Amino acid sequence: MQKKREIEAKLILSSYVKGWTIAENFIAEKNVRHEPYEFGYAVGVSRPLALAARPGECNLCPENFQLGVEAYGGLGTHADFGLRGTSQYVAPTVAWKLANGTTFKVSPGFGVTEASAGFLLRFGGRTRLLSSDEPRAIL
Amino acid sequence: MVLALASASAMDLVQLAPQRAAAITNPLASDEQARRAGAKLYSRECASCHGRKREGLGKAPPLDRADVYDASPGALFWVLRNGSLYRGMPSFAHLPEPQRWQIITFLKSAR
Repeated sequence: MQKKREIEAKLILSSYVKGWTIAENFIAEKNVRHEPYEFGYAVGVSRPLALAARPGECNLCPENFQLGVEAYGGLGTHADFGLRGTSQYVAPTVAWKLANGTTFKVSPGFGVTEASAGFLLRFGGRTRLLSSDEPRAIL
Repeated sequence: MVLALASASAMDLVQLAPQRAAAITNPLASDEQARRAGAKLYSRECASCHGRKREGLGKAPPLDRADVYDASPGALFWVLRNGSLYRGMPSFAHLPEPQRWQIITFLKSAR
């Protein structure tokens, strides 16, 4: 079995402007065995359905939902930098934050170049594992 | 990763706010709906470090104290927006501005 060893670096930028979250990632990846440097990117904007919170605890309050759109894909290698021949995707995103802070995110992605898969479905979740009474690290 | 390592009092951080930021007023001050929403947001976003009753936990300072009540809303807003990596206070800029003001309304009215 061949072991694949890679080094990956990400520049993660985000800003918040009048309720909009704007995120930009730049990714550089290098297989340690004689492969070229590869590059990629992801950009996205999103916004909650409501900027102010409602008073009561609720899972379905509009401020708990964040809608947005992302674009991501490859930027080629250091020898052939650019969009030519790369996979590119556009993906609407929906994030839902429960009252206990647990967050779910779903994002169907649509390939927009010949090299792309036609459809990708990405989903994920995030929750706090430690008791709220203990000092903790915030990851 | 931001560790909750704050050892200085909350007031030290508030005093770092520039005068221009400290002069900003809370558009939701004295709004009962905002206070209740702020209590909910405090429980969700702040209580894990500062305690459910704002009593402070570990090295995160208590917020149930006179100098927080007396701080200008603008200075508290500046702290929420910028945080302090050195003191272990994360930035809450990811929360929309109205939600940050709701938290401040709660903190200022909870005496």
